[in-house]
Amino acid sequence: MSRMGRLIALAVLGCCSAHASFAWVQVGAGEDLLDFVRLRCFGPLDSLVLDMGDAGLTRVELSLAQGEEMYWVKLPLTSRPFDTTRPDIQVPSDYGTAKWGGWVESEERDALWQDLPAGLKARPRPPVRPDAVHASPSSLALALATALLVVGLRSFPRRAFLLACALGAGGVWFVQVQGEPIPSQVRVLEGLGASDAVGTRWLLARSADEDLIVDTEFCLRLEGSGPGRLEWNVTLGDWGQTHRARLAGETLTSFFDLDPGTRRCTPEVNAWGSLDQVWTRSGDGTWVYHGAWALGAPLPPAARAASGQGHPDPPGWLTSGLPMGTAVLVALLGPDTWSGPEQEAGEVCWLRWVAWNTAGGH
Amino acid sequence: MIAAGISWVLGFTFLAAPTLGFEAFDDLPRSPCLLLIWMALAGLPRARQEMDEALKPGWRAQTLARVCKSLGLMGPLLCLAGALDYRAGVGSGPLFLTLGFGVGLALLLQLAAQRARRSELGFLRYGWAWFGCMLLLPSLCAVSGWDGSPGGGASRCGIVSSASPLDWIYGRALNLDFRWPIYPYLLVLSLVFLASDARRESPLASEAARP
Repeated sequence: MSRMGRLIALAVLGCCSAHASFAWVQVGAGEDLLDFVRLRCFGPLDSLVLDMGDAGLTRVELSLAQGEEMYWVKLPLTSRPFDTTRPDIQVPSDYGTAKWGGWVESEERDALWQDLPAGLKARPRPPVRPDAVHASPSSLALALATALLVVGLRSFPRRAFLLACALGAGGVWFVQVQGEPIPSQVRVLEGLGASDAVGTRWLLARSADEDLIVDTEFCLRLEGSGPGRLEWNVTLGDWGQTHRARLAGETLTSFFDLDPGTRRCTPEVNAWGSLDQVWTRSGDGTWVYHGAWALGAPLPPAARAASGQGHPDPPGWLTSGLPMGTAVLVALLGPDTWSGPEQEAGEVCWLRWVAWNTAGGH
Repeated sequence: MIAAGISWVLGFTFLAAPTLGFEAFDDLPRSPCLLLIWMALAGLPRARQEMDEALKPGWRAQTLARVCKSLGLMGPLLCLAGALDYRAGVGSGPLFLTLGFGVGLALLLQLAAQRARRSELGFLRYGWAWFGCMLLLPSLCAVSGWDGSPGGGASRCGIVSSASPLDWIYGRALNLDFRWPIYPYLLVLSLVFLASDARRESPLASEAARP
């Protein structure tokens, strides 16, 4: 190889290495974003920041008085590219100190995750980014028409005012009929295996486009929909800890082990809770809408479509990527139905259960 | 009605921009921003009106007519903005309270500005008070209390700056919450009082003053 050729090869190799190292810094979709560090904090200290540059940071609020000490507190941080990586620890000047205690190994968490069936872990996650709410052209046209009418009726101000009130209500109605916005927080109870069979596996997936409250003690894994800077906001209070995570411009999903206890659903009885909307898929791939399914009742027959309207379809992300030849149950849980750990306000809960009914499969 | 008209044009542009593809305004709360525009323009000191014109009989009816026209223009736009905010997830309680008290402040500011047109003394007093309390003091407080940090604000002059209705509605736009606008209402009622010149407003006094 000529000298020039070697130089070109070296340059290409350098570019590839730089690109690879950047990819390390910003962990992409499907990678585990969760890691922990240990710190020893000495008061007085009410806040500190662990900065990992482009990869992310953790802001911690605590209330350590003069002379108080927090011994090797475990804090979440974005995943480390290398074991030797150390975050930049920033504490307010003239305050206490924080001593680096190293990364916390996560073999147990990794083992629990690896132990789950691949089909359960690899299902599509919900699109939780809410639609930007815009005024529709019709509502804007109505507002314009109202203004023109009010200007035209300026000699009769009271009539103009009454007319504006009526047309203003019309504008509100136009916004209301734009349809339901996409929720910003969704949890999915992922099931695999028949109710009456031994070894049914469960996984709870919670997704949010904004702050995702994560119970880091039990979280198996944290994934983002794409690369981004992960920010943790941690509050360490006397009453407990709060961990909020946010991935700039992307959706975060946290996974937990789920134990529904004796709750189950079979075609004969619903022993789970009230389900607002239920769809089932038979082994041949046909989806059937059943409407609502009350607690204690058998699976309702296929719902009859209202005149001129079809059945509602299940959301596409819930029905795609599922194994063929097995029965599937997809349900929207009622507001008071058990869905695992405490729900956030406005969180929408879905049940997606593959191979829930062995009789409906092959 | 000119102030309300300009507010309507700006507010309509603000609401229509995201629909037309300008995503810069996507994340801003609509109703507090619209109220901010209206409040800023409703209270602007206006050119003085001739005394005879101002004191012609039925000024109360004129004031009511102006209120009806302003509400007729801005009301539907605020309804639309409120509905969009509600759909975007803003709580109904803070939203309704902010809208209700914000409209009240805007109308009182409009009333004060209208009253100030009717006398030289009221015009001067209102003009200086509006400029000082609505714009100058909050700005000075913010600058003097700024510790240099991003988002750092005035701490010692908090009450002074929070008395400005513009500061109040700006805070609601930032925090999407509701706080009782006690100081803004006190300030605006003071402005209405300052704008009134009782000697010149009384038709009898004005008759007596004429040669």
